[in-house]
Amino acid sequence: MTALLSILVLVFIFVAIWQMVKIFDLTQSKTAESNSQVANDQDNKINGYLMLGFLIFIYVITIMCFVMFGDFPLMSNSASEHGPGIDNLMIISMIVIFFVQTVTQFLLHYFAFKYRGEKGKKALFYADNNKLEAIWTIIPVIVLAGLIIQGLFTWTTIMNVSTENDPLVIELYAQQFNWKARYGGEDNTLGKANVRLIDIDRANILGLDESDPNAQDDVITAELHLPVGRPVLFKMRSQDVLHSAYMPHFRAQMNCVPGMITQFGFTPTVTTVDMRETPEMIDKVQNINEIRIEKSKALVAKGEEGLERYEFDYLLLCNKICGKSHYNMQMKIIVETQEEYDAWMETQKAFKDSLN
Amino acid sequence: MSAHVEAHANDDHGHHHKETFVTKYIFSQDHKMIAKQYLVTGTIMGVIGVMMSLMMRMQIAWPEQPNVIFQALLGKWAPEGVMDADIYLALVTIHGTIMVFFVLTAGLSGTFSNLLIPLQIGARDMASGFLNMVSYWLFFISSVIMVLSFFVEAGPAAAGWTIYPPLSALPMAQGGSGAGMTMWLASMAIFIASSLLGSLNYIVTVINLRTKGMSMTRLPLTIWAFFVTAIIGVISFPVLLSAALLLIMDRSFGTSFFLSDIFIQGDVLHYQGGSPVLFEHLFTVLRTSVSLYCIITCIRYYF
Ligand SMILES: [Cu+2]
Repeated sequence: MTALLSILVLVFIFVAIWQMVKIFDLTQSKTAESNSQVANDQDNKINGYLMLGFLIFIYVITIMCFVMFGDFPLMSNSASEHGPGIDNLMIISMIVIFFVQTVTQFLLHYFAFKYRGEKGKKALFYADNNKLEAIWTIIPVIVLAGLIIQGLFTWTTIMNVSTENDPLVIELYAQQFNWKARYGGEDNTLGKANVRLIDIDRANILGLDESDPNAQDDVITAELHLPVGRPVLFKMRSQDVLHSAYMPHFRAQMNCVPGMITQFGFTPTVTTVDMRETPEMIDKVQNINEIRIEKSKALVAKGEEGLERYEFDYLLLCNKICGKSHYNMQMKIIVETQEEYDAWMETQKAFKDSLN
Repeated sequence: MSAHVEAHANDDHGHHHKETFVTKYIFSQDHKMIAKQYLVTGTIMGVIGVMMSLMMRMQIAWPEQPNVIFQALLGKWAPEGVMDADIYLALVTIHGTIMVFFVLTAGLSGTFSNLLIPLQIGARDMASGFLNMVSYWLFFISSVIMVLSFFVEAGPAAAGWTIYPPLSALPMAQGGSGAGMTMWLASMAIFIASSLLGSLNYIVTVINLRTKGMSMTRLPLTIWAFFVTAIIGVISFPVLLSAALLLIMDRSFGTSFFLSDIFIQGDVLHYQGGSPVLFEHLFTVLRTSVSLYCIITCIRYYF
């Protein structure tokens, strides 16, 4: 309430100053000529050149951005089979947008400069030109239709999940604010589950149906391990609010909706170890670590603990606002060889053994 | 006698009866004054919205660093000057709401449609000056409720400007989904009523009050743009109103339009059979048309 009151006071002070400035203005006598509100040639000329100046300004800013931030690691190093398709779409769209933006901004500002107001200059009455209008309608239609058709084809190939190639079935379970993964176990079949069956006392945290034979060998983990090269079919579930399973390195995202099961399938192609050794990833990690070392120095000087070294890992993130700790809702993904995966799976407990 | 009639006919509107300060500046039915009222209110809301986005950017640029500005403006939401995670989401939410609805939709459309439609089609005023006044004052009330919602105990709405349930429907999911969200919904319901009255007025004016010889095909492109945006508004805002009403029912009267199978903070809730996707669909209708609305708004400045 005090905040509201102090803001009100500030507003009133502002109004008072504004009124005083107005009164001051009224007391000043005006010389009619120089104070005229009608723009003359000189004013129009200044504005015309300012237009050109602004055009140069945005071009310089664009070039600077390309030089300073112009590499797009997230557009070239996808780690899934369908990833390059999405990256392609992104790159084509960027090139088209960038080209159109450069040309139209030039035309807009140049015409504003060229046809600025001048005494005696008369506007040309130009009703219409069908040919010109046809051209600038048809070209965007073709370009946009091309983009949309390519997008549709990419979309259908990505979303068309088949169970014929024996995918590994994994459930991603979202809750405020963490993820759990559930593997189908020996039979690769997930048991039935519903939030109404959750029994915290018996450690049945995902609400599995304890009487369902398929559920007995399910494996629940807090880390997502995927064998490289094997198709994965994710079944998503949420227990409280909307979440979104976002795996940026695999170009994958799907909403997790309470009350229904959504799905997404992809095939990881690069193991975590291989990804860490790509030159661009080495660069990126080194860059992050240099920043961390700098920051650690300041922290240590203050008597606090320094930051840990950063190491690259694939991540599953939440991409839909879901509450206070949404920003930190993540799970580590590890892509590894089939042998490593099998060895890790050996160490995990089946559902029936994990109950209290 | 005839000269007297002549003089009277040439007389501009607005001079026939005496106007008091209240009827001229506050409860005005004159389209130019209402346009100015929209401009001032929309600008103030715009300043608030931009300040919020500045605070968001400051938090991103210096994450979790103390800042006197946060301390001054956010009060208890910035203990020792460090921005709280909840208030960051609230800033995102309210900034989006203000910019999309109060600035782009009402501020721009209310100002320029009211000012230019009668002037450019040769009408004396809008079709109904009274409804026009009601439209502005409903907009004003909804702005006041939205601004007041910043000051409630558990914080303003923080579920994103799309207010997807269940996050926006369950007070236990987030502090902002309590009284803050109730005020957000009340403000939006009033805003939609205001926007509908305004749009209907624009449409009727353009169709009925064009001056002699001003056929639809001769309308300036600006007016065509206002006309089309008004139609889009009339089609899409009732959809948002229905979504908001259903959400109010879910929140306050225990219905399950958008909620099903929810386990939160150790309890299973009674909601069964609803679907959050229904809300997403309803909201998408509005979202698409608001983007159209904004595109046409931008394009018309080039005409
Ligand atoms: Cu989440």
